[in-house]
Amino acid sequence: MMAKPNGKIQFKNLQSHGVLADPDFPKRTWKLLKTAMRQIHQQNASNLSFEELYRNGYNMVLQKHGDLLYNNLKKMVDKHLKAVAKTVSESIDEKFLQELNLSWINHKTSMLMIRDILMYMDRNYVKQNNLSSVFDLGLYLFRDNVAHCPTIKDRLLNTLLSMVQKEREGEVIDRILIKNIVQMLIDLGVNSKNVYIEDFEKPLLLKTSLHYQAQSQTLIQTCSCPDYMKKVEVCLKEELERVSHYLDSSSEPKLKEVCEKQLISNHMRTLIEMENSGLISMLKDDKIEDLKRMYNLFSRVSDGLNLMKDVISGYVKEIGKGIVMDEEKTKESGTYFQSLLDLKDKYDNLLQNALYNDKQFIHSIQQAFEYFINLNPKSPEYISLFIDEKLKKGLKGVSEEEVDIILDKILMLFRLIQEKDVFEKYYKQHLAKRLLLGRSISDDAERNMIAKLKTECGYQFTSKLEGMFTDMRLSQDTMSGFKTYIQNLKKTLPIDLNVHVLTTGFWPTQNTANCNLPREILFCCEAFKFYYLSNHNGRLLLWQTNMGTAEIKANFPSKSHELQVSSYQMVILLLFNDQSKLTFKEIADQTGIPTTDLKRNLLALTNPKNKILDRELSTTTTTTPTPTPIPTPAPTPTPTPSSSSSSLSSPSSPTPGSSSSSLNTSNSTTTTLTPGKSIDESDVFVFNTKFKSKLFRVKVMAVVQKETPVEEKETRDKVDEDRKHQIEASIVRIMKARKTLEHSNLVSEVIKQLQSRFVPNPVIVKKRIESLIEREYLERSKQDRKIYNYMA
Amino acid sequence: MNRLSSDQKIKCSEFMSITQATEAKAIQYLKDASWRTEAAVDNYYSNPSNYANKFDKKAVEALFNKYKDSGEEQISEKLPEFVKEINVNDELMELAVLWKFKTKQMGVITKNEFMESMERLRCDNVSSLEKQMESVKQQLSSKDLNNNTSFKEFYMFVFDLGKAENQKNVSLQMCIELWTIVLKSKFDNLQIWFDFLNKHHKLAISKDTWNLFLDFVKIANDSITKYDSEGAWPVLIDEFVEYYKENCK
Repeated sequence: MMAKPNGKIQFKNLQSHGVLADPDFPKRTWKLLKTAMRQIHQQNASNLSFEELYRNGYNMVLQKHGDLLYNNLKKMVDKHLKAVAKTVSESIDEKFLQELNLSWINHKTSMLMIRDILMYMDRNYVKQNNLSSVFDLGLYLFRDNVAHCPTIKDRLLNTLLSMVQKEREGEVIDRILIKNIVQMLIDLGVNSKNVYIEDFEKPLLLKTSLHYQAQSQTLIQTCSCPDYMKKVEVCLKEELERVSHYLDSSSEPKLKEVCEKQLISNHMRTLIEMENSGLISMLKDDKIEDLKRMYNLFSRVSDGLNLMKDVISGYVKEIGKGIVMDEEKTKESGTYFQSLLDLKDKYDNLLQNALYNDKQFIHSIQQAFEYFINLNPKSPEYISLFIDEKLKKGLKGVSEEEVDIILDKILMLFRLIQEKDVFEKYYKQHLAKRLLLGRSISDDAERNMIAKLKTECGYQFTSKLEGMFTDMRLSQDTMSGFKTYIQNLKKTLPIDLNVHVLTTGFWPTQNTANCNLPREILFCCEAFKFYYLSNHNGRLLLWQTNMGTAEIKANFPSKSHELQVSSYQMVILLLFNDQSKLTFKEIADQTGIPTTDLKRNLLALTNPKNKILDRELSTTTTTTPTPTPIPTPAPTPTPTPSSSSSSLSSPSSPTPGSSSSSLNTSNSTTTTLTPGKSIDESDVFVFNTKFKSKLFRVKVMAVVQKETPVEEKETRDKVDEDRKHQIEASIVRIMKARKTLEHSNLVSEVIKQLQSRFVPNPVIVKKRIESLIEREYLERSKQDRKIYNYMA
Repeated sequence: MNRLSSDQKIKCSEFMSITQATEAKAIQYLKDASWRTEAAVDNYYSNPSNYANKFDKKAVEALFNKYKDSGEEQISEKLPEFVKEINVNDELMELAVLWKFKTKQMGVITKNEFMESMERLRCDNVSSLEKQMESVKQQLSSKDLNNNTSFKEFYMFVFDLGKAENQKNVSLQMCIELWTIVLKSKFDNLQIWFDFLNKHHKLAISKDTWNLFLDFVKIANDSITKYDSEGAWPVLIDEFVEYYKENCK
């Protein structure tokens, strides 16, 4: 470091003295430098004095000969490189790249040395005149003279491309050499990558594109979809390796894009639609691995996943539609729903294992389910029936966790149902039956289900259902109270009566005409009524005889049996105590049971399996002079009325001696009657003395009939009526808060408020608005008919 | 009068024919009321100095007695003769008379209504009433529904007139009769509307539907394609447009 200041002083002297005067100085000095540089170019620099050369360069610049020095340098290097280019271009093909690489390395070394010698020029003259530094000048000159030499440029490119192509075809190539050459091209761009991009990358991308275009064409014609995808995966991996081995990293995205476009984008549709191996058949055959592969590949290109998603959701819709519209399957609510659950399972599995739980896919599949589930207006009913089935027997011997899983699955589908209010109606009906007939196998499971519905749809949805449970509990208390009361009276009732008191409004109301109860039972009922009303003053107790059950003892000639029957059946059977033969009309008149119910119950009693009554088809042939031993049904029936706050009531029958009940259920649960043997109003019924059964207790099931079209319509009407009120309530709620609101906003708010229960039709909403206008809850704004005002 | 637009000129002469005021006064009052004839007339009469001959209550009462029913204090039986006397001879104008008398009931003008309305109209003899009705006729017969507030008022009044006692809606049959009278010259597709109602609706018409039907007519006369089904129209009108598009292309 000390040498420099000394040197400076020395040069200052030189400057001020004779040197300035010497007119030959620049020429002479350049000559000196030129000779030295020649030697450098010949790799013969070992005996040069760096210090002397530096000084000369320094002096030249100092004495304002910078331009001369710079231009001469340029000329010299230029000339040298022209010679180099000639050598390189004359080399044979195999040696071409090596030669080029060698000359490049030499050039770099030379230029570094020259730069060091002319360091002072670089720092002063070059900077002041905004020229390229010595080294960069060397790069430019190399670029123009060598790399862009007409005999080299194309040859270089073709050589490189053919090397890459060779590698693609599986040959081993000198990757290091290529890497060096590529690096050279990058360096020649000086501060940008223009040279690399223009001279190599662009043609490479084009070539790659053409290559894969051709290759993908052949592949797609010869391979199945999964095979094709496997091959594509390999290609893409190789291309990435290529980048890491000898290309500039900036090329990676571009190369990837080109490959993906040719290999994937251009063939997406063909791949998806490929017969026997495309997306649809993968879905059909649960090809999780292939689907995953497809997802991975398609996620690389824009729109790939969208396309895939659309096809999947279209397919799911189609399959689902097939299920919900399938007449066969819809007949059996169980299989109908089970197939939906299976479908759901399948796609959940798919989402998780092949599609990485992609939100878009989850959403679109969900939408597809929602679409077809709501295609069938019976879906809400079927879900409820399915749950009914499960809670009645389907969950026997299943652990609590498993029950939970099943219920959760059901709820997933329930969530998609738009008409949740219809579901509620059916669920209520089914639950009522389960509770009153004691058919539910697990109270916990019932409550679990209710709790789930509550979290799903809110308190409002389940409050009535919960009320039903409360009624059941209260009824138990009431009954034990009643029994103590009877005991205290020191009286025994002729029959064992069990009453469920049901709150009106909680339970599905059935406005059925009551049947005429036998005297004994009426007496018990009156006793209960007296007891109940003395405890709960001011309530109205109505008996629902259509919902009760009874156990009666029947003495058949062979032996006596205990019959488990519905209250209606009991009433019918008791008639045969007094008469052995009754016409349909007589039964109807004496019992007062509504015709349709009567037919149903008679059908059950004349069922070949438990033929307690026999029927004579025509009245004309009166053959039996009735020598039959009259059955003496010593009734232990337990019809049971019920009610509370205001009116409803129903009889039912949890009987104490349930030891043999399981036997009985196995005997008679499947009492679905063979159709075609419907009851005719001209039929005559006699007590079947030939009745035989292995079992002591015989369960006669009421015929479970599917909803008749009339009932269906009734349920529907009820739902529609309920909806009217709910829509109006919602409109008023919204308007009360907002005071004025524009029509479309109001409609959408209403739909938003109600969609957790059902999706209101805008036309119906509009009709409700009109009705409210008519009743002067709302008015149209005077200025704009689309705006409504709330009238307080 | 030169600087007035033709519309203003009509209003001016209208004003003068009602009030018998000078042209200068007419222009002054109309200008003050921003060319709303009725308001201007009201203002004119609210200043007593403007009319020399005082309103003759006795004459009005005499007029009433001339036509009143034998049993009750109302004009009903002789209503046809009454309207004939004031030179009203079509159904539309008969309704317009009831409108001007603000009657509560179809075909009946009570004494109260008669007395109050005559005073409000500043008429105490047949000829001035006739003049009034003449100007009303001109107002109502204007083809341009969009700016015809009088017609709208009249139209809405007619619905209330058609209502049976204690009813909110008007029976379909009555509505059709009323529409026939009121909109005969105003709506070209009236018959299609009636066909539609008879076929698909069959129920009474609500006030809301009645009122908005006039708005609908304004649009439909222009072009039914401009109908906006999202425009908060009553469902009945939505359905009619559907029906129209299906049946009358």
